[in-house]
Amino acid sequence: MIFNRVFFIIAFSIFIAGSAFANSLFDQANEAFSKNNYLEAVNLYEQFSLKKGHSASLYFNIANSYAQLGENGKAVLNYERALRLSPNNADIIKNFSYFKEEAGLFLDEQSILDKLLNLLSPNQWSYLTLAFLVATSLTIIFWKKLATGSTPRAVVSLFIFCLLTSASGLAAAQTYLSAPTYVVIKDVKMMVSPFEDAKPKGLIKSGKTASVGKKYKTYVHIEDETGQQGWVKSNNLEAVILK
Amino acid sequence: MHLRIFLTLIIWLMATATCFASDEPTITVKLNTNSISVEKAVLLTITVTGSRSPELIMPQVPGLTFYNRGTSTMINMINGDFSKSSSTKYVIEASQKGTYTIPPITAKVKGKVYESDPLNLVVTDNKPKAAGKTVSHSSKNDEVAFIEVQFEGDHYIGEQVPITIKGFFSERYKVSLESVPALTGDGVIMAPFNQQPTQSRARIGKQTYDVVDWKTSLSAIKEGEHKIQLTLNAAVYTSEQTTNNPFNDPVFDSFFSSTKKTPLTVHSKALVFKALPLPKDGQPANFTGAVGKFNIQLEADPIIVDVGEPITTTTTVTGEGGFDSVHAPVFPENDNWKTYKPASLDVEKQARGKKKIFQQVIVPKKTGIEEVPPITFSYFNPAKKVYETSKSMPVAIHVKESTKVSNPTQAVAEVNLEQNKPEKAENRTLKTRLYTNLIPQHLDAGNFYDQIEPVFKKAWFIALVMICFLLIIVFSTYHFYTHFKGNNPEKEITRKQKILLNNSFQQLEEYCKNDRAYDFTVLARDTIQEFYGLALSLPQQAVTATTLESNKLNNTVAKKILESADKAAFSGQRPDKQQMESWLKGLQEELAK
Repeated sequence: MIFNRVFFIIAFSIFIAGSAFANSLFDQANEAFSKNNYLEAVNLYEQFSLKKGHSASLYFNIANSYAQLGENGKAVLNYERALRLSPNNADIIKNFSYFKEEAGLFLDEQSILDKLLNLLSPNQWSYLTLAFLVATSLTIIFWKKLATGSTPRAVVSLFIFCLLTSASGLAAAQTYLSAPTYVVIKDVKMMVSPFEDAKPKGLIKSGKTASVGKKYKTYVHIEDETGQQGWVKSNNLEAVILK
Repeated sequence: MHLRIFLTLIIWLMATATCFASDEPTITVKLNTNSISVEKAVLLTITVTGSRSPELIMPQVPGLTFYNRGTSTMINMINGDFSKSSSTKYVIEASQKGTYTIPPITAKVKGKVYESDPLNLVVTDNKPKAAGKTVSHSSKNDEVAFIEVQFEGDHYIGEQVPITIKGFFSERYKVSLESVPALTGDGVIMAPFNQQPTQSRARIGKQTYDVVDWKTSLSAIKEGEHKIQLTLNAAVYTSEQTTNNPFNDPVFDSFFSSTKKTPLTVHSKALVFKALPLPKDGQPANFTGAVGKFNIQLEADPIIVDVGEPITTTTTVTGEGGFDSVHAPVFPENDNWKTYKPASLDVEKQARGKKKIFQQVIVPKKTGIEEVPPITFSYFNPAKKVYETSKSMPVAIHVKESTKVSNPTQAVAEVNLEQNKPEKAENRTLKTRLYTNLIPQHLDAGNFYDQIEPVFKKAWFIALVMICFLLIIVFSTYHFYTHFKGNNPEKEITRKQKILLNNSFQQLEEYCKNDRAYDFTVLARDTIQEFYGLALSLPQQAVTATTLESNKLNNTVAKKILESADKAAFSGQRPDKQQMESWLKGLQEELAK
């Protein structure tokens, strides 16, 4: 009995100490940033991420640090990650837009539909879809009670819920599929074929987002946000979603 | 009421104005330009004042074609005076070059003839662009789309050569762009497109094209003549008749056709990009390969330091040209200073051009130094074809005797510890804030997640969705079954009522025939009670005449029978045969409904 208590106290103390150490890493990183020591800040933030996992604020801080270091690719990558976790965070959106503009990165004009879709993240659209699906299920489960009161009302409710479920489901899929998947982290030449001596096709700047298609040895075929296609070495790209 | 009077007055004024306006008509003609090329068109505007519907007689000019583009009319009221005018527009196209005189144009107004002044129009040949400019366009797919590329003159290695790429797409086809232009060829690279293309329209020959205009630059990476070509991926949408049009009318063609997407690759003509080597003569010793036109500025911080205390110098190179080949300017060798390796911060594209910033840590070795010496930067100016050198201003500083440490190199060792690290880490050690308007760091790390994974890929989410779909399928099937397969309570009640009525009516008819009034009354009452008991979900005994009344079943035979049955129970009064027949008939009609 006493052994169990001692074991519990030791385990709890280790947990608290570990947690405090991890949090102190975050504070140390912020302190390093405030002293303009961005490299140290990035190292500390990344250590903190390894211990604690992924958070929007953490990626936001990492992105700001990389931006100050002049590493455009890494900055874009971490802003994208932060946006995946918290798409409506005003701080992230503002810094990302400001950074892109200042760094001379392509700012695409969003259509009204895109603006509407981007009001919520893929996750938020997914939750909404689930909520409407539950509502649709409840309407069907309690159909008799609803239809006893007024059959047209039950039919209209079912129709509206089905419509909303489909619409939010499509929005979730669209926002997920249209989000950038890879970021170019170093300025790199695009090649016409996946070989060392292949002809260059153009330069793709770090910080541009791209989608990846075919792979061949160390090369991947990419298409950037302007539709430019070519082969680049895979180590010049980094995925937004960590496997 | 006032509004109506006001409106009537306005209409009357306008109507009378058109009648009473009696100024002498005038005719004026105007061309939007007096000189055009063969491919272009000119707009002719004929304005006739004093009439809203003049009859215009256009002259015939060999070599010129006039296309009417419509007439607009106008009524003006200035200081109470009304005037009316009409304006007719014509587009004029010339088939060959030359100087044309458009004779006076005649306007007939109320039988009188008025003439305009003659006009002169000069039509020039559609010659290619200025000498030294390379223009190329493709021949393949010309009628649907082609690419025209323009760049000027010969150029040097590393020189940023501005090019204009124009994609022409015939307005007769529905074409969508699938990519931006891509360069194929060796020895030349194309800068990425940082600007959105502009769009316009152009008429070439008898065809009108939508023109998409990209601006970027080419740069040779080795000398020689390089064959290059630009390619653009597009798609043409064509309408195909999928089924026969039953109306045999082209208006309905679109209803019976589908759109087919055909990929289209548009190539420019092969171009030769000639890259000259940079001249050896006059090449400065500090030239590092920069080609363009640049300026240099020097800043230092802090400017009051102790001996051995580091100063960060910021050198900004601005201008136009290939910034990839701009390297850090060399700090002049000097015994007064200890210098560390400079590092580039970033290339930022500014509204007025581009710039590159370098930072370097320098340490004064002794007191009395009054300035950071000027820094020079040499580059090759391709416009002037000479090497030029830009020199910064010196920065005034004050170096005091050190109060902390005696060894200056030791003093900076800690500060520049990072500089001894591998090459890649060098940029990162520089303590300069690149972006000053960023929102500050978050002090709270917020919520943590194990993975950046969309929620719809998570097992619990998928399970919930599956459960919902399962519930929907199960309950829909159940409702469908109960509704359509007879397990419906309403249908069950109707079925029972039918059986009841079938049995009861046979018996009642028999009682009626045999004049058994008491039995008739009892059975009729029981039937009514059971029938309405089923319909209203009430026990049989609970159904009375009052129940029917409260359910809006007044003046019914059923109610009368129940009332009579009640009376019969107390008074022994019974119906006669005629009454029974009447009730039976009424009851059959009523309950059968």
